[in-house]
Amino acid sequence: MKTIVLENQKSPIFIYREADRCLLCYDPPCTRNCPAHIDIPGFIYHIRSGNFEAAYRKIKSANPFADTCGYVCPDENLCQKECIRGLIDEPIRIRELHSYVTETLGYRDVIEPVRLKGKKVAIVGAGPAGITAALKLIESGYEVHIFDRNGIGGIPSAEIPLGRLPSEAVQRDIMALKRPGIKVYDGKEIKSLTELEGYDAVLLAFGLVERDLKIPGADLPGVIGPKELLRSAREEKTDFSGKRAVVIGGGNVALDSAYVLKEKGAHVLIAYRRELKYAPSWTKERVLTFLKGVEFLYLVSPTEILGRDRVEGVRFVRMRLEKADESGRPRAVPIEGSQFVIEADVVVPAIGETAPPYFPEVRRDERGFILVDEKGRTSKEGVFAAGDLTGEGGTVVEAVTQGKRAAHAIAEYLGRSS
Amino acid sequence: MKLETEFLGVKFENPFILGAAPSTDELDILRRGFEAGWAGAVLKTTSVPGTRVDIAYPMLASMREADSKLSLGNIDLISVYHVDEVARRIEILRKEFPEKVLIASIMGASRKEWQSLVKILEEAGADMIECSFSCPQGNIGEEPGRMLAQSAQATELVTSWVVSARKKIPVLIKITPQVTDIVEIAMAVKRGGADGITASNTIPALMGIDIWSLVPNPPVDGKSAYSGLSGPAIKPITLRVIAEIARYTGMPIAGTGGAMNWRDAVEFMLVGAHIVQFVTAVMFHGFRIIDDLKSGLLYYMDRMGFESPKDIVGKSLEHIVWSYDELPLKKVKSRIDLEKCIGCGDCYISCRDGGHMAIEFGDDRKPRVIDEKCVGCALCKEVCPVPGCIRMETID
Repeated sequence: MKTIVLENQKSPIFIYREADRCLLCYDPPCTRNCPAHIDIPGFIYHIRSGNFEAAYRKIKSANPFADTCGYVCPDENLCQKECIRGLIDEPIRIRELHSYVTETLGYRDVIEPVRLKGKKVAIVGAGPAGITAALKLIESGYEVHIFDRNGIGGIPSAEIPLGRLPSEAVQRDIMALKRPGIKVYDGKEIKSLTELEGYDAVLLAFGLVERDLKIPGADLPGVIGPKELLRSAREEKTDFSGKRAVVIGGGNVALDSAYVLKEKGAHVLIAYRRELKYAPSWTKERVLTFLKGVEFLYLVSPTEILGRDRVEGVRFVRMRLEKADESGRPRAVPIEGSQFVIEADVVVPAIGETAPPYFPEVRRDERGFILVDEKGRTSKEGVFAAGDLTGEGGTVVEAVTQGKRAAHAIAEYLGRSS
Repeated sequence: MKLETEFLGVKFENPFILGAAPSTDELDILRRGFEAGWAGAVLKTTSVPGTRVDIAYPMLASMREADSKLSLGNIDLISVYHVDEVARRIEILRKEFPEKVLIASIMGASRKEWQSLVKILEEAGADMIECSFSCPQGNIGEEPGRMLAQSAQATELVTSWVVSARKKIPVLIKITPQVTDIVEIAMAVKRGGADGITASNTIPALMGIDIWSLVPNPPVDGKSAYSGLSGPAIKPITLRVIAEIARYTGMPIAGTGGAMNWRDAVEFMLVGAHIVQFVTAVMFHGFRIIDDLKSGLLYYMDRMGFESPKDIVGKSLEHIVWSYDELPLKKVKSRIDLEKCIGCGDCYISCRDGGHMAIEFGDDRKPRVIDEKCVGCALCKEVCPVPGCIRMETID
């Protein structure tokens, strides 16, 4: 990667120059590497000619969460990764071109109304996967009821730090749901198929739950899960001034947690058991977190959270790396006698997530994720799944893609069974 | 010293002068131009007292593609200063800058006007007279809207008036590229007795239209007019005009119209220009470009082994044939260097839809030329973003 973009470029001169640099490749690798398969050279050509309406349609119809992705898409790992222009000088800054279009035009409805076919689909979970599926299903003429216990928008509207993703962007993405044929039941939790009698198909698209830190002291007050932390950080009154916080983990959720803790006044340390280069996080997020003033500690693993009535510190053991495990990364093993204690008031274990144990009717893999086939079908007929709970992906754009895939499979299923 | 040259018997410290324009219409601006290193200037075209000059503003509009300015258009007219004031300025500049070449540009409406302009300005100390036969915006010619240099007869006649009125200074005629046969006009200039030709000038054009207001550019309170197009967009046209005049008349030429840098100037010289006038480049970038012009030309001369700018003049003419019939007919095939190829597929798309479907594009993202289908047109080479990746091979 040659360029790390910390803030979206919004100058029209930059945008036109960048659009002009695009080679408009044949069989473009950018589109191939975009999970949502946005026709990237197509929309860039529209930018060049000043045809922003058409550019918007191309982007938004391929990716209903385009406003969100304009901020949070890991361009460095996706569309821009194999940009051929990068072989001449630098990859085209695709995400910012995309974001410029969605930001400039604001919300436009790109869905063509169709006559409803009289069948009804229940979607559990109103995040990027569920919402995308809902929009694609309504385009195919199927009525949708979408349920979410936490409100609409999923992770983007609740858990991505506002500094990374302005809430207006998510709001624009969600707006498309307001149309005849889609009913939103927010605040309603559905945990099993028996609660969904009378639907012609069901899509499971709910979010994940955190894995517990299985060490002594993990239940002390002051240990806060990242989901709770990230949600509370959106409220102005949340304050960690003067607190010493330790975030455990090496992924993007750990980085986001550290970012918001720092934003809310804490002194923050991220502790990760491997080395930086093995951390499952994006370079840009690391740089943002580092620039925020968060400290990093590598090759350490917590063995105990200390404290009488609440968290007072964390006992760590130093780790060393041995040969690769099944994840392809070196295995971290404790170094005997290397324990040490770091004082802390807050501990955030961001060590991974899994699907909650709802919907016992469908099969799961050994990690607890819901099993789907290449079309997004679960083990139970008429029940489909999309999004994080399948254990695939983890980005907004991948959830969108799974939502599209599932909607396609559902339409196919409903078309056949009629 | 090495850049010194001579044109129509007048010494130039280098072949680069300022063409007639707003920037040569004010003493203080001219002074700075000379101090920056320009060898001379054509002062903005003047006229006899009483000539009406009503310039409408805004008078400029540019044509752009993304970041690059491709051209400039103007609806400017001649100088608002009449000949008495211009003569006074020439006297002042003559004293202050004895080494610089001062060219007075004139436009008249009758024999009397043309001749009095020449006399006054020669007396004031001008080194040369340039006659504007080609202001595309003006309507002072044979008939409204027509330029003098669009009529061979008028061109010859007025040239002879001017030539007979001067005592000894050389006379240049500035023509327009907007004619059916540029050689016919150049021959008229020659018959009229002029010493050289300024080739050429802006080209009448409509600069573009604001599609939302429906008003063309530049908008003058809801109206517009055809502009004189200048800058990079017209360089290829100027090159052709200079080449044709050089080849058929052998007249000494001051090149102007689209030269933006020393490379362009060298190209003008290669087809027959002795000196090169700059206007649009100065309007875009200022007088400072003279440093690059001079050092660039020196670099070129050193690398090519030319001793004087004069050595460059006309060197490319022998490589131009005047009819397609004279072009060698050989088999040519596209050759793609797969080491340099970045796999964009632009050559494939262009050949498929705009050429002869002679390129295949594989899953490995590498293009392959199908020799039996390739006619050797070079479209692929022209669209390829990588310099030197595609070349055209001549097969004997």
